[in-house]
Amino acid sequence: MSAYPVPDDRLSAYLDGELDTAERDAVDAYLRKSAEWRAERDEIAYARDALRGLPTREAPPGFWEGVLSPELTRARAKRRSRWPRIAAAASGVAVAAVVIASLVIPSRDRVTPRVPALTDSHAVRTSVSDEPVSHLATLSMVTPFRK
Amino acid sequence: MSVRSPRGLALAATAAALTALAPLVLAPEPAAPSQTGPGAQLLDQARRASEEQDFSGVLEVSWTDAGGEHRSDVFVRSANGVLALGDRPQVIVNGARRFVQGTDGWLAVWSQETASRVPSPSAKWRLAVRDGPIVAGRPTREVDATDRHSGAVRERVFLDEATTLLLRREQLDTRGRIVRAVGFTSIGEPAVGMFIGTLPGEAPQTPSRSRNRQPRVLEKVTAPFRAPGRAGDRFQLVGRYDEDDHTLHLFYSDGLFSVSVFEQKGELDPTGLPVGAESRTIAGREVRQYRTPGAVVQVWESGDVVYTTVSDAPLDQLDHVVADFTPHNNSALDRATNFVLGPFSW
Repeated sequence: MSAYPVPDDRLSAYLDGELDTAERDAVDAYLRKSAEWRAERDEIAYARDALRGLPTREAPPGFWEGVLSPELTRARAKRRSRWPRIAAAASGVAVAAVVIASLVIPSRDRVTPRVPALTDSHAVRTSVSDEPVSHLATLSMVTPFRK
Repeated sequence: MSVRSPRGLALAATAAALTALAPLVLAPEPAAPSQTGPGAQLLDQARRASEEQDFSGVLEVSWTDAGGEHRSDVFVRSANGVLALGDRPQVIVNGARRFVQGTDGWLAVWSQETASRVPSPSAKWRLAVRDGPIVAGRPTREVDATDRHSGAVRERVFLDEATTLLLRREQLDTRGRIVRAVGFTSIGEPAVGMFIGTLPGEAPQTPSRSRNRQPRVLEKVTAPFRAPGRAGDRFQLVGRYDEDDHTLHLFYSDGLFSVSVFEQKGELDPTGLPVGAESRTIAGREVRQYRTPGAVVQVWESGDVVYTTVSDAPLDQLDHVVADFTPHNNSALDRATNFVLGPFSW
């Protein structure tokens, strides 16, 4: 009878780094002293590397539906069918936000300066602190600008 | 302190030289030789003479715009401290009061005395006085206002040698060409009952009835409006007023010329503006510009405010004013606000 247990799935977990400290110490001890454990470890490592080296392929259409159970397939279809409704609801919220914003946020007033009147105001104010005749003369003139 | 070594003497001499030169190097503007002087005093006397002298005459106003040169005559008379301009007349001046003929009668557009906050013209302009030409049959004293930086004469004022009454003023562009002028072509003593040209020469009267349309003096300015204390090339803010239609009126002066900046909240609607505007781009803003008989008018918008500047100053003095009321860069908050609210601003 061997002094060591038969190699088990702890070796796979060991290679994946999933063992706790006590288990890892135990496997390390077996590997140091048991040729059987080491041979098993090497086989598992070879198989893992071979699998990881295989190229990735997309499953053909309908493959997963055939593999998965009918209940799960229906559940996935139901989940997909929610998106149009969510999109419609989001669109409605966005439209409502735009309408509310247009009502709540005041649009800017449109302003047309009364240019001839402002020109007169300037002349009047200037005439108070400067020589009045030369600045007020234009107020008594009829020009295309003042019509 | 005694400095004995050659190195110490050199350091001391250098420090003394730098100390002496510092005021010259650090001075931001050429120092004005005086706040007053003969030119400034003559201009100040001319401001009062038109209301203190009795006279009547005909003024010729000439100006140039994109359509060429224009001229117009205005009848003026002054007696007993009341000055009238226009045939009907259209404008009356009595002390600080100003009346303008409206469609439904006289409008009182100003009545308050203003504090003397206008800067002296000699602070910015070099004023030179000399004998002038004969204007409207009278000998004159000429005051030339020269740009201290360029050396170009920008304004010529001709004053009656006997009374200091302003007989003519000319504004020149940077190349010395007259772009605007107003001056008497004839002037004389008013004679009651006599006719001057085709108009009676009776003494003007202050209107007994008028409707009030005076601006209100403002103590402060609130956002989004702005009222910088200085604008352009040394124009100082000397008045803030609330005009009709919630229009803010800022009045700036450099002692010789003045600039009014009108601010209105909103977005510019150009459909109602007078025709004939020139299009310009100043400080990145599209500006509509008019040349009128007495002023240059510029209309533009920045942010949420529509600006209208009106000024009797030379055109090249005004671009800096536009720039001072136009933020160079929007802040991050402005950009974010514009991004969010932009789609709703129809």
